[in-house]
Amino acid sequence: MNKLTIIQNLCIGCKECELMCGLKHHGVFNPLMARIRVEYNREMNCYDPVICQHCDDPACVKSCRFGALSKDVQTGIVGLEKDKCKCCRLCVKACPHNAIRVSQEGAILKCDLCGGNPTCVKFCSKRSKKSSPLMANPEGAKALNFT
Amino acid sequence: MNGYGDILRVDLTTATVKREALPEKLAKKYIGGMGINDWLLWEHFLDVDPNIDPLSDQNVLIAGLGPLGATGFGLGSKMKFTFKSPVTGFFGDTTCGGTIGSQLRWAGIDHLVITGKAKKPVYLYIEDSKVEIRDATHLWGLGTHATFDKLRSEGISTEAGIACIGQAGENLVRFACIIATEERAAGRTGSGCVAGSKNLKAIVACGTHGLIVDNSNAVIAATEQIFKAIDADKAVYEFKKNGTLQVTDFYDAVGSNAYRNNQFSKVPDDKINLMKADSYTETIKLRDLSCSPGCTLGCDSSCQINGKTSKIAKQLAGPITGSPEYLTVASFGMGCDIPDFAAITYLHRLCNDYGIDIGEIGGILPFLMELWQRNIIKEEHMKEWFGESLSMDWGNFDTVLKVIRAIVFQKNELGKMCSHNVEKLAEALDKKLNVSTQSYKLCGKGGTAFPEDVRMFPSWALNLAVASRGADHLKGFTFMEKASQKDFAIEQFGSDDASVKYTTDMKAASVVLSETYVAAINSLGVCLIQPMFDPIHFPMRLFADALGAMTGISINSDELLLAGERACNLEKAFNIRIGLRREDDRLCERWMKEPVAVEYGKGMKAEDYLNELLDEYYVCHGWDKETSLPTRKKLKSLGLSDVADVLVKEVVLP
Repeated sequence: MNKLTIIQNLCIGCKECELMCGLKHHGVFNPLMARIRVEYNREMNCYDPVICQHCDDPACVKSCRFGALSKDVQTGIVGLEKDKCKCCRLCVKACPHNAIRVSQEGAILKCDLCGGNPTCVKFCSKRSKKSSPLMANPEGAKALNFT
Repeated sequence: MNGYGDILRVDLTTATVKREALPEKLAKKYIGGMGINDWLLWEHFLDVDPNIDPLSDQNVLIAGLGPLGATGFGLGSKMKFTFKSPVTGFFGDTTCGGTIGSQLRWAGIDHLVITGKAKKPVYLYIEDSKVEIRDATHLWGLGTHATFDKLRSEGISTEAGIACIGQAGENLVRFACIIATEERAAGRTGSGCVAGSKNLKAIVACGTHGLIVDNSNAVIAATEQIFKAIDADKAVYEFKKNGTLQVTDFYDAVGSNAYRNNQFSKVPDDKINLMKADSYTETIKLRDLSCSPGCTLGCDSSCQINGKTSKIAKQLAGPITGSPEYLTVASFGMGCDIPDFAAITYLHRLCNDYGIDIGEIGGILPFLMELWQRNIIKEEHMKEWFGESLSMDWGNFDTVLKVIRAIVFQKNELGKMCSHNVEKLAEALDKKLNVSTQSYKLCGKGGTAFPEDVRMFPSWALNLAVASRGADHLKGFTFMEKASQKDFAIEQFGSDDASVKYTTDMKAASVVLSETYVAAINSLGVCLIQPMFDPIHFPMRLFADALGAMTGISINSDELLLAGERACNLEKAFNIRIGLRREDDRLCERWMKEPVAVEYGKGMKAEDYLNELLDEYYVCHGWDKETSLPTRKKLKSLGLSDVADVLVKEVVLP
């Protein structure tokens, strides 16, 4: 079962993941419609991606009173059934990673790993080998990985 | 039209705002970004005398991001500011990364047209359909970093895009620039001075609507093609790692690093090694950064002067900041002979904080230092200006700081003389010192050229001489000759002549082609560096496909280049109205008359080839070679008969 992981120092803050996620799910380029979020740390002048970890024991699933969230044991994906969701936002509060978002219209935005081939990972920027002392990575490494 | 936003017109005199849809006809003809900005400038000066003082409230500040900006196509979001330049007195424009352009597009606005002058300092606040002209009295006097912080402390989110001026723009230093979050400069030709003259401290934009695309599957397919093109470049990882700093190594190898005001074309080895990208990486670099949304190249970086790397660094240790560029290294490290990344980075941040163009200051400071070296500027002058005995010896970091502050705050006679451009400075010094300083200035028309030696590369010498915004490399950004792009030369011209270094063969044609390419890419709103570094993998078809998928506008490669050519002709036509002709397409005496001394292109000087190349250049453009005027026939073929109609009222058009 593949897992989405983040290497923080490799994120360049390009928002490509947000833009392509919004496009894939809603047909728009709008970071606010993405299931992934890239947070800017002004003091450190760096960026940290925040995305659903599809936890083994998901707090969001436990918090949902309507059975809208569930974990698929085969794929590991914690998914949201839109029809059951009442947008009560309890899952937003429950998530320890702060990774569930709410759209401008009030809809819950929850990563579904694009069914097993995450768009954000596909378009994440490949970085150079050891670009700086903080970036001790091989050539072609990315901030977002699905392995 | 999907993928496009509106034009927002703001009159600061009357504090009125008008939002209008972008006409489809305009989008098809000029694409967006630079092209539509150029049209809006042209349109503005149909009602306003083009010969106005650029500091007059009748000048206009236009901002625009093209239809591929603020998207995920992977090549970033580059916004263009366009205006009549206070530095040069003719066409002015400048490009920046940052988030401001993208936030505007996500708010549904592609172009801002700012006219008039506010009675007191203001900033423009845009949040989707909400547009407010807000009081900025409390921001006046702040540097750009403090302005960002103050606005954010007042509830502006960190996601919002901010573009602002520093003290230089407020004090109407002609080459003041606009700085966008996070520390991205709209550097050249005086955008910050125009904003300052309008009492406009900042523009803040926050967009929540996003951009609806015409065909999302086609957009994803076009993005995949662009990603393949990026990956196809074997050198791309070097660029991702080093950004423009890799140019230091490259120019060291081909001999065009301009040392000590380009008295030399090569920096001594012990010094150049301290300024190479590896030195930056090892000493102060922290992480790679993208300069704007959607840029997967990420050639920017963050860094911190940690105080451990050199004697000078001890005094300069400071916050985590943005990375210096090749321009900064060339200006301060090579031009002023301060080969220390801590000092270079400090000066980079300082200039960005004050909001001044590192390009222009990078011409002024080495020029002054050479005059000191030649005993033209003497101790008595420095005493008169600064009230103390200051040396302007090469490498004197403290004096460099003092001169920069004198310019920004207009503190003394020297600061005032330096506040326009290097040409005006030379004129003023000639009068004051009663000695000619003309031989030592590095410039073309309208002020400082990009600080690098161009004599041995005829395509770059020509590029700088003819550039519509004054001596600058980015209008005809060609690497066909410099990087020996043989395959691209053969693809375009059927022979490799244009890619052969140190010759003039086909160089004019390559500059005209590059100007058109650059104009098309700038009109699309993405970064031009990777497509111009590796044009063989970036055919115009890639961009045409992306534009079609994004907007539904069906356009082929030739039509895209035609739109670029229209923009080039509009800029030319604007300058013609100001009175510029062939004789203005020139280079400074040093580049014209002094031969190259290093082994690369040894003996070359621009006076041996520039005239001949100018002939070819105008002919390639379809312009008259005697005067450089665009011909009526050419303008008509581009669908610009209306432009010709305006010109014929003022000049005899061939």
